[in-house]
Amino acid sequence: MRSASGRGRAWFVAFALLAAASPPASAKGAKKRAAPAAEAKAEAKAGDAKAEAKPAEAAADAKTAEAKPADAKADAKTAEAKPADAKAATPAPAPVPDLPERIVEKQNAEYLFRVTLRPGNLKVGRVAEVWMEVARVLEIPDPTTGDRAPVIGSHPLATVQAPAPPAAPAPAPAKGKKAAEPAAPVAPPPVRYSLWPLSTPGAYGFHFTPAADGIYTIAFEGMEPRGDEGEPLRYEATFRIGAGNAAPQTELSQGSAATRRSSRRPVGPGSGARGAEDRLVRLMRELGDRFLDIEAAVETAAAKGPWPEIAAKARDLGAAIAGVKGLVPQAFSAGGAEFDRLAAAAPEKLEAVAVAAEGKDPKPMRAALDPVENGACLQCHAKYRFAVTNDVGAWPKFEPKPWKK
Amino acid sequence: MTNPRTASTAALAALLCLAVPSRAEELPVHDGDSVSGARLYRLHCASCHGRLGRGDGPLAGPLSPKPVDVRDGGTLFARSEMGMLRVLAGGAALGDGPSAMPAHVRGLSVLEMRDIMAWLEEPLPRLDTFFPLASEYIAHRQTIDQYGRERAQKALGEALPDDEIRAMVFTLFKPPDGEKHPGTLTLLPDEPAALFAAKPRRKVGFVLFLPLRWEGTTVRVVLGMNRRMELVKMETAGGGDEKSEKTRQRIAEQLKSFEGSGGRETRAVDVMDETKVPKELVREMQRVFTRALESIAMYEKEERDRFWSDPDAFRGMEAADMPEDVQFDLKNKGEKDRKGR
Repeated sequence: MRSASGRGRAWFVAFALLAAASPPASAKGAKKRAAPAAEAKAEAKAGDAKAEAKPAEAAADAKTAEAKPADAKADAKTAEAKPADAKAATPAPAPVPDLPERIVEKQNAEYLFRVTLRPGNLKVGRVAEVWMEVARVLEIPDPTTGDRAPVIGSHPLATVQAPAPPAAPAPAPAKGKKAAEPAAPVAPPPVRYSLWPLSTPGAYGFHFTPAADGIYTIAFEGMEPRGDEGEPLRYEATFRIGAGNAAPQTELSQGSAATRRSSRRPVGPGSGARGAEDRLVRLMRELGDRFLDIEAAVETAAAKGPWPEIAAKARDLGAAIAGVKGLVPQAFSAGGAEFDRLAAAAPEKLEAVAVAAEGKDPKPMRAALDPVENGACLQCHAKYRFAVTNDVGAWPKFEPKPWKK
Repeated sequence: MTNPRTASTAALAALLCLAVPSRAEELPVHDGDSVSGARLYRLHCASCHGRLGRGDGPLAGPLSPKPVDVRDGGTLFARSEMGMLRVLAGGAALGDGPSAMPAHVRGLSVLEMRDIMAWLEEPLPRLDTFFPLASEYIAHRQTIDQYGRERAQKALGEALPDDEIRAMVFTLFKPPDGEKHPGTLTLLPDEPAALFAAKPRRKVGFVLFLPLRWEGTTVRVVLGMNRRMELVKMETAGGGDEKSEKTRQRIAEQLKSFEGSGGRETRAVDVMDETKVPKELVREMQRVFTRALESIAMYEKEERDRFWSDPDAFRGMEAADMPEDVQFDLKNKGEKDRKGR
């Protein structure tokens, strides 16, 4: 055991070491003053003829250097030059890769939380599916559920707090007036969602659409009903989830002790990401999303819309629809030829949209989009998706199936 | 130079912004994400039900019966959340009758169906905003009978057209005597036991979603009426196109003038200051009110039949809260009881 005087000696040694490591206050100040001079030197080398910073001054020893008028001028120069340099130097944010899903885990008190995000990197303006699996850690393992018991029959709530928007630049001060401090950004009010029980025991889910880049805070809370065992127990956990460019910042393990073993999970359509959907349904979903993107772009492109982008998107969608060929739903396999013919008709109509977009006039573009939806998509959907008719030969007229009259 | 106090205040503010507020309990709870619901509705429903949900999509033309107006509160709130999910997932097979509604169980997940429902309900006022004390409600579509139509003709000076004799009546009830308010409003199942538990003395009022035609536009008006048939609160349901939204906003401004009017005895709406409300609007409101009054009368008839053997169900209700024939029956029964003793 160390004596009191020994502890004191140890503190003294530690303090002495710290003092030796840190430079004296005056030297620090000199370093600070010399740093802009060094920057000025670098800029002067780069070709700024007006820079008055002298190399000899800039290279002054940090210990002896004093503030000089030339240095001050150089400081001012660098301060002016910095914003432009910063703009040029700031690299564009790297594109966030697509990730099918991301699992974030946490333990809070005796509850284990496993949150699955789909997509893994949340996108701004696109729906985020959040599955929350909650289980209570058991002191004595259960033969069926293992070392944890899923929380069943609960009605959890999730409170989503969006990030505060980036601070707006302060307005330029009037002559002779002090610059006003920029207003602190205010985060939008939190939104509360009720979670719906899903196919896996102890799993609950909800959707939300991130509206801005940044870190979202999602707080889950609920009560675990315990029946005859006693009063319901409260569980809660808060997760920090990144969206948009901040999506990769989401930490995978956000608790003191993240779950190491996972409970027994059933294997089947209900347990994974939409295992029941076949290829056609997934493809159609993607086509639908892309169509809505084009439609939204056309609606907003009133005067100066992103014409080349719209044209490119329309052509891409046309090519993707052509890929549907041969994927006739099984129930209609006899009508494969007609299905393929209808799929082949869509790219032509989308080409008309692309041509209209290249003409930079929103009116014909809107007019060209209508036949895509009502002519190509709906004609096929009426027979092969909604099954309201057997014959779409006389489209847009059709005879509904007898039992649907 | 940064002021250290300002910096620490900014840091604290940032922390507060990140933290979930302690007043979170007061936040409204959303069942789904309406932003996602709008996209999903456009992809899966709009081809039949129309972009605004009025039942006028490009595929609706030859279908019979026509796709329903899914933005009508009378249709939406008449089913529980589970009931709506069943219809969306199973389509016509799980609906009320023959229709062309396809099953969406393969194309939509449960969470996506909830998103669609959230988008549909977004512009509609919730039923409990009219009667915050209510904890349960019954939804019954009523058809005005011949006597009701005659009364309406007398009040309006013209007969009600055939498409206006049916209306969904929501009857709201407070919790059973002595029970705590559960905090949510639940739909009572259409079963004899549940309906018999909804005693008239627990009734707090009625809510109806009815169309009001004005200046060539149809706007859905939501009427909250108490047991005395007085208009206690009125709102408009949004979700229409640009033109109807403008009309809706103008009507919404005028609706306050009608609140407090009506009643079982007067059978007419009036306004405090006649100069501020256009006469045409007063006439249209009278039409809507009469339709509501006669639809509720049909519900009361149904209720009277349900409780004919249980006069205790009306205990504590004042005469003005009941239809005349119920008052007469109860009075008669009391006299008979006295004579019997």
